[in-house]
Amino acid sequence: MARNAHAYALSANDLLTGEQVFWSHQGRWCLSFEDALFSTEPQNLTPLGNAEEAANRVVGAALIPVDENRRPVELRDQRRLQGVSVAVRTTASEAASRPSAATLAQAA
Amino acid sequence: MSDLSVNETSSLLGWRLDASGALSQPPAPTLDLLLEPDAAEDLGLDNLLHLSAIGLVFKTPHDGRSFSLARRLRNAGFQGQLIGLGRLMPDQARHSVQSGLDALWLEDDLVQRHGIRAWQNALNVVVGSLYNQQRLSAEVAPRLAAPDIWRRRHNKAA
Amino acid sequence: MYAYDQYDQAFVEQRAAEFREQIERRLSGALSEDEFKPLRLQNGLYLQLHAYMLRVAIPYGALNARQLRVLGDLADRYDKGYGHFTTRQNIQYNWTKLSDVADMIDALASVQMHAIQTSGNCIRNVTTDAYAGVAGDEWLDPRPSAELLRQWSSLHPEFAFLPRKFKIAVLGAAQDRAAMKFHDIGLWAKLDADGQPQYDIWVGGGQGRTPRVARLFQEAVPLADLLPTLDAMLRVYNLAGRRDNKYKARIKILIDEMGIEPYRLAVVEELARVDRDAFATAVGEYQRIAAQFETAQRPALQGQKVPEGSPEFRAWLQQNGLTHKVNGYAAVSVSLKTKGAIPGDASGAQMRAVADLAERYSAGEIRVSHRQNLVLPWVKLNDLETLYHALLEQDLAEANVGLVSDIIACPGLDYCALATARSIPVAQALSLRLRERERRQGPIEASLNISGCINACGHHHAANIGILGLNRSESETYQISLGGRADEGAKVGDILGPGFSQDQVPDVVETLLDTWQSLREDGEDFSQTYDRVGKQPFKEAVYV
Repeated sequence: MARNAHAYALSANDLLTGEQVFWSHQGRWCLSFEDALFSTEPQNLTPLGNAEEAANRVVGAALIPVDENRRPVELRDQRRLQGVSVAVRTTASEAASRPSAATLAQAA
Repeated sequence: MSDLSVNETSSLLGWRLDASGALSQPPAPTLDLLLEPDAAEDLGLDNLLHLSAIGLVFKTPHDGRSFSLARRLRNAGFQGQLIGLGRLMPDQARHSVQSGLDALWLEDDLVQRHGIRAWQNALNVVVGSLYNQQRLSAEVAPRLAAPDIWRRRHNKAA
Repeated sequence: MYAYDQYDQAFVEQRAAEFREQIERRLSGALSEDEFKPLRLQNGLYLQLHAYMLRVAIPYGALNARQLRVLGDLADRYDKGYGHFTTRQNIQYNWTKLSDVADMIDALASVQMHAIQTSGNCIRNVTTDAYAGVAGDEWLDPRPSAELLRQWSSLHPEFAFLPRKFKIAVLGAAQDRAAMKFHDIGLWAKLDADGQPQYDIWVGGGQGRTPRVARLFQEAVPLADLLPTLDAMLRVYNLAGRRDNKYKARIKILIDEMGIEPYRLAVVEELARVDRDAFATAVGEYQRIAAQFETAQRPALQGQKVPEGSPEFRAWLQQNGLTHKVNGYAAVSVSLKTKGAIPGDASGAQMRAVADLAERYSAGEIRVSHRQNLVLPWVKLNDLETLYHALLEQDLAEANVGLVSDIIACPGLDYCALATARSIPVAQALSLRLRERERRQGPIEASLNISGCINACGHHHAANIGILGLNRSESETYQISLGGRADEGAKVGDILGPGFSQDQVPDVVETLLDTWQSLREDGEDFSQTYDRVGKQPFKEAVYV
């Protein structure tokens, strides 16, 4: 049990996309932490994470301890949920000049 | 010394992946010694050179010591059979042959889990495709005679 | 430059096909994550906080314009429009999908590139001086040696599952511009009395939680003995290196625990068994490779002169230019450290723009430096001012290479699954502050490196001012170290004292610079002052 943990969410990376995902109330993975299932009984979530890894749907399943306000208590989880701290440098003009898949295939 | 005995291994139901890439289910190999990497230093190289078949144990897919043991044995002139056993992946079959092993002896559940096809394809990567290939098993070398890239570039025989 | 022949091309294509098949087996479940992990890492694929990250090798930092264009295109098509150049002459894409990686690798193979062994417990991408072949202080071009090692180590069957990663750097000049002594093996190439290559071999350098400067293993190893010696060194390490604790598994720890002399003896014993015939083609192969690099060298030019230009142009050239070994040319660095920038990041558009400029002004060649900048190695003196203005238009003409604002930083907790704190916002805040200070004071020649965890990918140990981000009671704290250096006088910095919050770091760094500037004697660099006065005055200034 993490210190100051009131409850836990279950998180992982999606096997195919690598995106961070959360186990939801609906009994499936979702992309939004808002939709995550919070449980005060982590012993129920851990086997679920292991089973999902074994089923090759996700990788790196881990519990996120949260406080009473459902705020992650650990720094790593806080930063991960915030996303990168800088604007991703993709300008409109750059986006417009993106090569198509066909261009790349031609180059290959 | 190894904590596995030779007799136990002999009784395993298993598969043999030959250096030529052939996957078969012959009787278990007869080994003079099962060599675990932890025990190798204590045994002394000279005591191993006269043996006719040594099983090299891979304890995890991350532990590459037995590749180096195979290379050290071949460099020292070991002429017998080197058979890899343990937790190997199909993707490590080429490393084994290229490091001087003759074959892998694989437990049935390991073969089934990765799929027979994956093991049958495991040596499709041509051994001679390395830039620089060191000495292979004497039995394997004539059958896999493609010289390495540097030899081909410089017109040298294998 | 080195160009692939049909063997090299078939080699990378075969590896690309193999990795595509491994991904398919992972997606089908035939490979578990535990099994797939070492396989994907050996092809540069990490799983980070938000996505998969693909690390692509830029062997010995050399690129042609076509290759850089494809790197830019990959950034736009498969990432969010940018890539991150690392301290080991790689580029990382932070937002890739497992389902796209095989196509990315195919695109790389189409321009003679790959991601082979950019991660994993194997021999990593071999690095060298970004100014190889053009530096005025060079004895021997290190690139042929690096390419020979690239070929020898690629898909090496015996050294693919070592106790831990293994990094090799090669130098051929008086000055170390590749942090050679912080590598598992460093090779300092020189010429023997007959003009043939020979190597001083250094071993056991590295950063991480146990930083070590490499120790001299053997001097003047002839070219013919180089690969047999490395083969024996790696075999002893593979068999004797620790596997019980990944933080004690690097060769530096083996040498700490075993002692350099016993290690040397073990290697000598191993070397006696090495099959020399297997390496009989290595010298011929070196000569074949070296001939390609020699052919690509340019003859000296007459009638070239540096244009008078504006004061800004002259300041840029003074700071970012390097004396060339061939008359009529200059080598210039393209800083990826503009004010407030993320160190080492370049957009796809910038990569394509630099590729265009390289074609126009630098014989189509680009280099990637270990300080996370790009280099245009073959610029005619007459073209320098035109190039400067073209770089200005791309926001790539910052005149700060080698200055304190030329910050090295790892991706940190913004991306990295191992990180304990963020590096990027700290680097950006410092960049703004230090660029402003340089505007006021002129060039400030000191090094400042930031790592987001103890693994030290941002080389904080090896900087005059090193910053290490840590997690203290679930809050980011930044520990400062002083006096480190990565050059031929390599040294690990000393920890100053308790850490600081992110907001405090810029003020602390300015105080450290104030202190140095007040104590420095004529012509002293930061290290010289620090070695003379020690930590105390800096400590007193900061912890008032």
